[in-house]
Amino acid sequence: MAIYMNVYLLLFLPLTLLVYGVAPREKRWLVLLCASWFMYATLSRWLLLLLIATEAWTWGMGLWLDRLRQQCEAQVGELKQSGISGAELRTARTECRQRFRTRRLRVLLLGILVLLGILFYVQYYNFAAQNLNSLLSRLSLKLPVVKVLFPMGISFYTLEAVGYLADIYWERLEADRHFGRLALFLSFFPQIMEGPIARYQDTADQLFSGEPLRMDSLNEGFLRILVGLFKKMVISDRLSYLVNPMFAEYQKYHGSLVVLMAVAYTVQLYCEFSGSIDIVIGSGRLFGIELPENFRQPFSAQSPAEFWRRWHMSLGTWFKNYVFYPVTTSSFVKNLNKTLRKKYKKHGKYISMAATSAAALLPVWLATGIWHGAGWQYVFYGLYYFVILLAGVLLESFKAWRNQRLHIPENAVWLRVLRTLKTWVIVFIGELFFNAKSLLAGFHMFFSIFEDFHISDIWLHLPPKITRGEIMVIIAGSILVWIAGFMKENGKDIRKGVLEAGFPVRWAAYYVLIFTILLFGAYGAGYQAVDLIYAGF
Amino acid sequence: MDRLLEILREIDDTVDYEKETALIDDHILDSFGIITLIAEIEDAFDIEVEAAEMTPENFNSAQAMWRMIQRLQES
Amino acid sequence: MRGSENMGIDGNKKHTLTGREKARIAGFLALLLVLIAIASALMRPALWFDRKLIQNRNARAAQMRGQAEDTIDIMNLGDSLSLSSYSPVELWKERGYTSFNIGMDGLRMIEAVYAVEEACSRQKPVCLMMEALPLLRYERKTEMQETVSMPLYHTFDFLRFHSIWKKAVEEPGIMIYHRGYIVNGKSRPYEGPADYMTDRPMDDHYKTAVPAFNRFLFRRIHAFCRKNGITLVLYSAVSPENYNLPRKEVLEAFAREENVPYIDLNDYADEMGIDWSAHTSDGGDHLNVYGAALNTLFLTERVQETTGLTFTDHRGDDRFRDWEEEVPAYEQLVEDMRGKNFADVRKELEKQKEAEEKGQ
Repeated sequence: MAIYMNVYLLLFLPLTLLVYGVAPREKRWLVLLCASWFMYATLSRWLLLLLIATEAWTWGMGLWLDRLRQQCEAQVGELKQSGISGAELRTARTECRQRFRTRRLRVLLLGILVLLGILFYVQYYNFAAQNLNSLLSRLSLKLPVVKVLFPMGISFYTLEAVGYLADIYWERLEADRHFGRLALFLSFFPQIMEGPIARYQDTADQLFSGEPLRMDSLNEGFLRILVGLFKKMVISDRLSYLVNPMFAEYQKYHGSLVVLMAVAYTVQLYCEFSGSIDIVIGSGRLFGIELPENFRQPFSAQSPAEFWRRWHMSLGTWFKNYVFYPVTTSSFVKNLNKTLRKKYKKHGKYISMAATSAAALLPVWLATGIWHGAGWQYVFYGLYYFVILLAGVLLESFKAWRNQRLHIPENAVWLRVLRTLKTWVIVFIGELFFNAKSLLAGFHMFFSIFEDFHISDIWLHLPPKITRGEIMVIIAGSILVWIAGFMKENGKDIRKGVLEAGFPVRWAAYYVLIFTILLFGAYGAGYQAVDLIYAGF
Repeated sequence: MDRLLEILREIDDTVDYEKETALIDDHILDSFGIITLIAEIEDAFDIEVEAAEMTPENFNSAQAMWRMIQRLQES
Repeated sequence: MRGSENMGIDGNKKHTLTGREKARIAGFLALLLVLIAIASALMRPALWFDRKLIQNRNARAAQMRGQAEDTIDIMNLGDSLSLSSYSPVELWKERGYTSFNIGMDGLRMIEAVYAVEEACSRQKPVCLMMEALPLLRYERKTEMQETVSMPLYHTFDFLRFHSIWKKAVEEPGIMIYHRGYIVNGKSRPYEGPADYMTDRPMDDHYKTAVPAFNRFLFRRIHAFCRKNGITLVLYSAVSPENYNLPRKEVLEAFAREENVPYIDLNDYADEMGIDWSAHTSDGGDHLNVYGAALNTLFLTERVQETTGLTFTDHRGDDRFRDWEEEVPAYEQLVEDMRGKNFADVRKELEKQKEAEEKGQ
């Protein structure tokens, strides 16, 4: 059962809500955990055991890390009482801490390696095997290609578990002694398929506390779910009838049609992903839980870097905290920084900034790319943004200089519009490669944009399912979503307005939304249930 | 503290560091600003900033950074 | 008072739901159901079908609603295999029996249950012939989804026929349904082995066992038929693409266990005169109109032989004038569709339109 399915929305969610409301407060976390595991079992059957095993592993490793910290503190405390003093005590203390740090680091690495090992095995083993086989073919070595069962949501809960262990290692967090609380944090049912990737600090206590149902959070959650359903059922599911056949037969299209494919897929992905996240966050809200946001009007971004601070934010935050910062504070990058500064006196700052940026960005974007899937197109996708973001960093000072010389005001409207459009183009091209069947297909599509470009082609040659009516709804729906985002960006949150209005207005808004979804949703005869794009990652 | 403010102003001189308390949360200091910042304060105060310290709470204001620096100098 | 009126986000309300708030939620849901019921009452599927505004999987159900009460004696249920191989007008022409294709493309068992119950709400058929392939079609996720959807679709026409708005901005469809049958004159020969009921492997779209859920739904249909005095017959349509020996054996055993007669037409392909070079539209998957003409008569006769049923020849009966009137149109259509199907017709129309636009 997936979160957009009627089984979830009409049966599972209301039923869980009911049981949750009736259950005594101290048992409510158990209701949520059972519901989460049950839902997981409907998605991945016996792989639920793998999820529970992962949770147990994370729980145990966390406790181990914590125990080592306590032992370290105890030993340091003993040193204090042992009577040695001054510099001697200080060295002894440092030495003791150092010893434990190495041990804790080993435990952390073990914990993380097992978690990532499982992820890599199910997600990347076959990809690696196939690529290695073509390399090794001369040596007549062959790795077997195996059929791996894919545990739903593994890319999401693995990152959460790794973050949890790292935070304990960094002493930002005490390990959770209660297995149930940690398990619930890692498997909360709305999040399990598509995130958002939460930090333990953000959600674990809320999930566990069993807050009573409240009218205001029910309202917020309900409206949020409706908004998500609108984006998914009216726009994204409908667009899949344009996007899927065109990408499947990409060789047939060129020029303006490929541009259409890139734009249409980007809109589809946004509506699908952010719509699902709306359903996820709304579901959490019904129970009074505040999950982290994943999108903040990404299409208002002024630069690709800003786009990524507004798009799939929980993934960006994760990579920043657990890849980018550790890399930038690693001795390798620090030494690089210092050496370069000393070596190049005049431009030292600029050069060292460029070098450290590159050194820190490369792993982040390589990992972001392959996190999405096993395929060279995803590697390319990551490197594409690596190059663009690095260029952005390097050109920063040039741009400031240019704007000053040409007296271009930083916030001129035309400049903002231009920057937004430039960002859009970069995003569209990125998504074209992202959704390509292979890297080769991506390049084929990209270069065929420049063959035979005729705007009028767009209206001919569309897949047969995409009729005039469908196109009208897609365009109208997308404009509505864009306007709502634009208004929110400018401080007018429509959703908040509806929630603050009196109940007749609010009810009217609900009914209008529900009927719009029921009437224009791409469901029932003529449409099929469309799978989630992001659930496969 | 003055040395810290000097370093900060060198990175971006349009910010009022004595008042600002959401340098990270509001993306005033971006990730790359932080890289430069860390290199500078490590040099200036002879400390080592580790990954564990990389939290918004430690970098949201000049005051917070100063507290972190002092803490690291002590240990 | 103002405070309890306002249920917006005001943060300081930590209390759990009051009785008043619960009543309000119930009221909201009740009004929602009323509104959907009203919208459903406004739907006119039979009329829209006649205007060619419904041309999707719902089309046959909508056409069924337009049939005069208690006029259909034989119901043919199944997926595209049954729909393409059985032509009710052909049967009327030759025998004067009335029949109807109540299936759907890719029919699922849960849809079958509702299709039968709905079709029989205004008809009293003598016989229900069910093509067996849907028994082997099962995909957990979809079945789950459809099991929740079906009662809603069948309670609220608004949900079922909601996409009708599209036709307000688009042109009507071009497909013509003759009592649930669509004429297909295309021919692409089947070139596989002549004796295809062997152990040869098949793709895994279908199970080689009847899943428990499908058996449960079949029993629902069976019970419904018993209650309403309808004779249920299970059959397999001729299709080298979809049947082999293991599947046949599974279905045979199933029919025995469920105590229903089972006719495997694949055993009689030669006897009914199927010519694999001319009578299939897509290389042995579906029959075309020429194959269907043979199959319709043959299947009906086999059913009569197997069950001992007799059907009434309604020719000459005034109540069935519309059937008589349909025959020339049907024959003309079969003539017009020689060598093509409706997808080809659509392409021809599009080319014509494009040429016109360029000419202007």
